[in-house]
Amino acid sequence: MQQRYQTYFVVAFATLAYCAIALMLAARGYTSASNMELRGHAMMANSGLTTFDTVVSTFPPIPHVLSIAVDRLFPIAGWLGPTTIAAIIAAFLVGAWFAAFRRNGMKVWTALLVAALLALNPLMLRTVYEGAGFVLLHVGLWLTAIGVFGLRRGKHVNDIILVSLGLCFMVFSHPFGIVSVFSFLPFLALVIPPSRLRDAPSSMFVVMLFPLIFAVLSFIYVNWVFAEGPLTFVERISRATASLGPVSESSIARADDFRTWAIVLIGVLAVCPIGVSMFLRTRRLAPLHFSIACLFVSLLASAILAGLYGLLPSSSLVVSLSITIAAACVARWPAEHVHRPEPILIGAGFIGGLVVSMADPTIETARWRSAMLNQEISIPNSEEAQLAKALRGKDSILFDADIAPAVVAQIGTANGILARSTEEFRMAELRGRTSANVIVVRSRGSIFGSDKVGRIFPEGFEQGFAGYETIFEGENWRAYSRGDQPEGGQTR
Amino acid sequence: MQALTASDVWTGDFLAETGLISLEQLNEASDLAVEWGADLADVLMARKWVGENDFYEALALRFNVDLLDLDQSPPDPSLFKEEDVPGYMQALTIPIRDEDGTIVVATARPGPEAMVFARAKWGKSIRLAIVSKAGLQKAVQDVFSEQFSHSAVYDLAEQDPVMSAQTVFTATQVLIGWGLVTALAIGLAFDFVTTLIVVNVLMTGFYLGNFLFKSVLIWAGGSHQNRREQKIESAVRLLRDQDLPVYTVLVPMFREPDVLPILAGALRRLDYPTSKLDIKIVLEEGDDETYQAALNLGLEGIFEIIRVPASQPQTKPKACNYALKFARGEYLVIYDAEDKPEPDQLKKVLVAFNRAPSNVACVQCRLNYFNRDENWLTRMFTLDYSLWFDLMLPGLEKLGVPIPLGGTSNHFRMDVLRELYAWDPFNVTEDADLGIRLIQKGYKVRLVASTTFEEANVSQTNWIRQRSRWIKGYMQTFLVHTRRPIHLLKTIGPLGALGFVFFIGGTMLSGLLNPIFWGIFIFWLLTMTDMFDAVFPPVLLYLSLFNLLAGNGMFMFITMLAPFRRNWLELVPYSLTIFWYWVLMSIAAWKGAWQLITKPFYWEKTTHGLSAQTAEEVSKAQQDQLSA
Repeated sequence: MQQRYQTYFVVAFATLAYCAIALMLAARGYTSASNMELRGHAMMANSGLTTFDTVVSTFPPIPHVLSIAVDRLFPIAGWLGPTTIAAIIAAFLVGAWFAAFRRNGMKVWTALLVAALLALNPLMLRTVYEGAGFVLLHVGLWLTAIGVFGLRRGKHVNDIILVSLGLCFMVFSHPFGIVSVFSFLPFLALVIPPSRLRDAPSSMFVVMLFPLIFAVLSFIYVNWVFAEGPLTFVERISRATASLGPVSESSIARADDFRTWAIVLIGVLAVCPIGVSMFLRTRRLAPLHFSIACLFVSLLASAILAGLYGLLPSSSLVVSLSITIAAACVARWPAEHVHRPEPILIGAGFIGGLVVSMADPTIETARWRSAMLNQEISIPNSEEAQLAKALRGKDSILFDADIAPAVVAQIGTANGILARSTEEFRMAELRGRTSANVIVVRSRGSIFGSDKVGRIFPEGFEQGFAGYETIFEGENWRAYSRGDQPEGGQTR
Repeated sequence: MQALTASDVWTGDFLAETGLISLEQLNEASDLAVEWGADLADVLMARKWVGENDFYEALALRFNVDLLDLDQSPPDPSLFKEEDVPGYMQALTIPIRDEDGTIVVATARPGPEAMVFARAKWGKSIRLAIVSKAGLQKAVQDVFSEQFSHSAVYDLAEQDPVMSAQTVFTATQVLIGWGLVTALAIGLAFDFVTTLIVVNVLMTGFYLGNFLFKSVLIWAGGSHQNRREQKIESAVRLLRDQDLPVYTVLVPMFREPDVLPILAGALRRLDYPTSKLDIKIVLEEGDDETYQAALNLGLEGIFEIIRVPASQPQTKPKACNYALKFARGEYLVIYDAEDKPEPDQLKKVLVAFNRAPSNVACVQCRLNYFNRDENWLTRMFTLDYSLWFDLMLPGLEKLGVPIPLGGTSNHFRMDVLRELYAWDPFNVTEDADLGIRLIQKGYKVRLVASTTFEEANVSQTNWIRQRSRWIKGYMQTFLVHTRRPIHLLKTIGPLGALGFVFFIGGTMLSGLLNPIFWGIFIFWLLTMTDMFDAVFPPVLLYLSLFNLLAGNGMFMFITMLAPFRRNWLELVPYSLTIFWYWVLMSIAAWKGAWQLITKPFYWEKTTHGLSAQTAEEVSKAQQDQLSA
């Protein structure tokens, strides 16, 4: 079989395998918080509740646009839509790994084994079912890593293209990608060909970073034109999108957590022993030696930076990135070594991944772990789940759903919601009163402050609305339903 | 290195014996003749150590034959055969007249070689006479002038009219154009907004396709740095001079006397035995200043000067077609007057031909500039050329898309070139056209990593003139090769056709469309008007915005990548100023489009020699000339 067809087979098989596991997890009631949010966004966009302006200025754009497109094209996918996207992207990534291994001279069965060990590494599974954003981050890292390995040789412009595109992908795939790219920047100096670094360092950095800078400025421009301001997208990044888990699991709080850091630091090495081995073996091969150093140091630096800024996702996700680094190491393993230790090293990384996935205490990882082990799964945000339950079957709901799309996803439909973009919402904003049947409002005392409904009706959360009765009362959210009065909505 | 021929040995001895040259001059001229692979007589006359009249008089005296002046006693044209012209030029021997069965044969190189040639052609009954080399060459050209001139202009148009740009728009093309305009008018009349949306969708689709195609091309080009280059370099070292074929070098010039020393120096530096080089400087008949400059430099002794009779269209391809009739090489290359090819270029190309399948008929070498650091324009032009030749063309080659040949340094198999009726004299980018024609006729083009350095335009107006001609030529090429779309599809395949549309069509169309979209965008940016909202529904708006941002960003990025291969990274920051270059390109595109309608065959001449660096190169070349 030609190598190309072997790769197609790997992609198809990986897609089936990932989708099968997704079905199993869905049957056990597991959906990650970020997938829930993506699903909600997609439902709102395709129901016309999200304006075009909001769609184009949402961050990170790639997973959002993909989930909207899939929901539009295959509405039947339902809850499985976002997971399927992630599964397919991950399968293509595995296919790319396999093809790269074969190009590096690996025999077909060995390449299959190594690809399977990487693809089924528990941390990779954790990533796939986290959502498309983090899988795309892996794709970005893969492109960057492959480029980094070739860059120092200074032969192909393709290596620059790979690094540039990889960095762009990372930034626009997941909020953690922004931090990762910042961490990468200083260490890129390690992989630029020395002669070019000496002769034209600024030009090299301009070339490598131009697509990233241009893309970021373009996105800022799009936000400036279509959204409320150039940096609106930053304000709209939710915790779920950033894979940060519930509020109680604040990363800022975890910044001093020894266990978290121990898992991240040891995990990166434990999951990627091939990287350590490559670093030690290639002391006289500067291009490879410095490349692996650049990748490791950048990953650790991005974890530290994310921790400092409160953007550290669960440890399993951070450590999972070293799987892609391991794949890049296999793809660039020096060909002169007759004895190929890659399968053993990747196998060791598999065990490392298993240990990390079991040791990670974060709530999202615990939920995923429970689902995999067929144990009882906790609900990520029980208040929002109960709110969704209360709103199910209701019509004409004045709800700032843009800030809580997961609620929409859990309601199961966006129909009947009067979100920001609707005429009714705008009229309520102008008139200070509404004829909606149900009003949902967030407490200004919540960690994120008031929602837009709360700003229209500042006393709404505490005092309720004349003619409305409380149908849901939570710590952060309350919902009020109208009795028989024709128009109300003023606070009591 | 080859020794002197037998004729040269005794000619030299004779001249020394008669006192026309000194022994020192003879020794030095012999060394130079061996080094250059030239005739001893040519060296002596180029050095002006012996006058032309003295030399030929001495020869006539030595052989006791007549010295003829062909201006006064012109040869009998009926004795000449067209297919023998390369032979006449090589042996410098021609028939003059038939005197009762005895053919009077004139030669500028009397000796065994001339006698062998004459006997093979006209039998044993011959009588020898002496003529000057320049007189002989002029006589041959005079005999065939009218015939070759007609052939140079009309061969392609008469033999393969569908491939000729003589007809700018065919009736079908006019009909289709008229149909499209009418459909647009009807659409606008009945549903203004929807029609504009449709037009907008088409243009956006084109931009997106162009942007994606160029991205794929750069990727393919970047990964196409191949082992072939190393293999070629190794194989070049194994070549033996005696095995090399005769190589014709055509140098068409028009009013460029100043750059002649550069040319002479560059051609002399070619790592190829001069005796196997058939170098022809091709001048227009009225271009006396360049002709005179060539005579003053003594170039006529070493290079053959072909003077092209005046006729319309007065284009470079017509001049080349004319000169081709006199060419005697197995391979042929075209250089511009100010070109500086890398010395081993011919050998590399030869190896590439030898290693390629037999249907490879052309090898294109890379072009770049020697004066890249002169000003902003030369830097941008260098980036442009680096992108084109170092990344895009290798991408085309890898993807199997027809390669539009660059203006110079394209090397051909002579038999194929003649079979295809060479260049289209009505097409002002005859090279690009020929590249596409070759593919359609079942031949292939290869690239070789050898660079010819040229003079980059230093003046924006001059640059616009040159670029407008290129874009007009691309339009002609596009029109010619889309006359039979099915045939095009069949001969070059779907990917090739798509590539042709985007690479040739895309290059000219984007230049034309850009100002329209820029205008709309700038107007909208300044006024924030909502008048365009109707023709930009959300999805289209997003796509257009993507094209605007990602497209422009991508083109800037690939321009930055262009100098990477040559390590000219100091040019990278200039990529950020490419917007003005695009503006110039659009001006050129509109000028080209206008000329396509008003003056389709007009050759917008690029003035060379404006660069300060060219002046330096000239002065250096003159010094080299003196010291040689």
